[in-house]
Amino acid sequence: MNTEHMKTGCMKTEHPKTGRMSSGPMIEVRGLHKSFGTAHVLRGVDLSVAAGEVLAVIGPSGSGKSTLLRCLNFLEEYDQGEVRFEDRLVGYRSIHGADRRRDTEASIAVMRARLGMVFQGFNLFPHKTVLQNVIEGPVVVQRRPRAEAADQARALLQKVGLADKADAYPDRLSGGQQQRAAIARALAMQPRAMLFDEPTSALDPELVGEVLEVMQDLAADGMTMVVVTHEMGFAREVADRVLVMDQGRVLEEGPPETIFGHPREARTAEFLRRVTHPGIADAAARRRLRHAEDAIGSAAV
Amino acid sequence: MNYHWHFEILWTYRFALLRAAQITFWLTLFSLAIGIAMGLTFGLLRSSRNGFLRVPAGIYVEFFRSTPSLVQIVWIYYALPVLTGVQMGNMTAASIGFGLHSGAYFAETFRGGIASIHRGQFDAARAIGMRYGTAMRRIILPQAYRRMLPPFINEVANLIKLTTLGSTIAVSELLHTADSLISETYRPLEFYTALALAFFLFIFPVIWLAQRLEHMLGARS
Repeated sequence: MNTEHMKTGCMKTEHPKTGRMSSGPMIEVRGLHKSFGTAHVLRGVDLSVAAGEVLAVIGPSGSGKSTLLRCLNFLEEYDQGEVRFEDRLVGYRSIHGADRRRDTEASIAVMRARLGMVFQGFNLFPHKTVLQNVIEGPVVVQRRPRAEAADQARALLQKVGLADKADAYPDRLSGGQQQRAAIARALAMQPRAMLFDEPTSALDPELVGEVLEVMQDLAADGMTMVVVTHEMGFAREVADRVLVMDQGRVLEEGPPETIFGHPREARTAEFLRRVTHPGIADAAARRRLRHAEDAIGSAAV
Repeated sequence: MNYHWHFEILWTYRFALLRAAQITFWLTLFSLAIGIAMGLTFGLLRSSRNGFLRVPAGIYVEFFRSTPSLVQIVWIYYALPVLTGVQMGNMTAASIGFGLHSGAYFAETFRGGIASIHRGQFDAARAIGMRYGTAMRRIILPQAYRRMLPPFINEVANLIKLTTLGSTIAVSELLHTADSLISETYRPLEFYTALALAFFLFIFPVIWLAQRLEHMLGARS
């Protein structure tokens, strides 16, 4: 067990089952590097997430947000640095500089089962009904009795507002419904924390709200969440802390009021100006704006 | 043209022909069993990210796809005993030969089917704690089967026709039997017509069944 002191605001707590002292945050990342071939996508990322905390990760496309998230549950292997989840090293048994011993597949799977993930593209299993999607993990991975898993699944579907869709196949659902089903599927594993990879980016604008609402409820229930998102409203209202990524590094992080109100970095301010520009989500408004600017431009000449 | 057809000769030799049809049937079944086992194994190996598994599997597939099946069974039947001292029956040699040959094609079919499944499905399976094998068995393969079905049936139809090559190592399947009956009776046109009909009766139901299945599965995916 990791006993070294970590500089976080986390209280020392006794692990309920093992009785061991756990001093770390729930998720901690130090000096993370990741390359895809010659593309150096993560260039030394540090972050920590305390139990019950909601961390929003924002930043321009290609800044490494999704890759960072995928390293947290080892869907992506990392090249340097370390990721810890519940004080345990993720993906490797030990790391001594360049000498790293990969963990067994079984124990990586156990770690992933405790760390739920929701994807941009939903990734529901198309050959299974909504209910079958939700009970798949509990029955196949956790080997819980099917009836018990189904009861839990129905309760979860109720919670995400899909009680009447239990027997539907994913292709009969709207994007928003699919994403809520995917959240129920992740929750069915009773995870200790949840990762969201741009969960609303593939949705039609009118369906974004229903997914964000479910996520907001989860946050209110005290779920530990890391949310990569382009929804600035969600980051501002729901997140406890916002982390801004830029070119594979953490540009800055802090409480939403600070990041959105008084960003320290000019690049943060510039990014926020671009994404929160009034009418930016509305193509017609954007067009009108451009015409207006053109008009002003020609008037000035 | 005043060729006088004597289709009644088929009736005279009906037992020999039925026996041959049986042998063709079993030869197909044995070859298919070996072929599917090889295909699934090597299709999975070729889909692996591990080069030590993927590359040898690729060599098997490309070798058996780019050499004639005829040469393969002749080699297995005649050359293998010379090298190893193990002599096997012609039915066994033919089954292994066609099994290895069709296995290479099945492997490609399976690999293609697996590759056609969106990578996000694997991510989702692993994210709920599934290991590679479980994800394959529960999530990837059930989806891939549907897409593999049409090319798979093509390969089965090819394999059934391929079994006629068994005649070269004296497996008394349909073609071999027909040839011996022809040399006895000098009625090639009747026997070859019967041969065509027999293969049609073998293959067409397979294709028909596949189309039905495809239709049923298509309604649900």
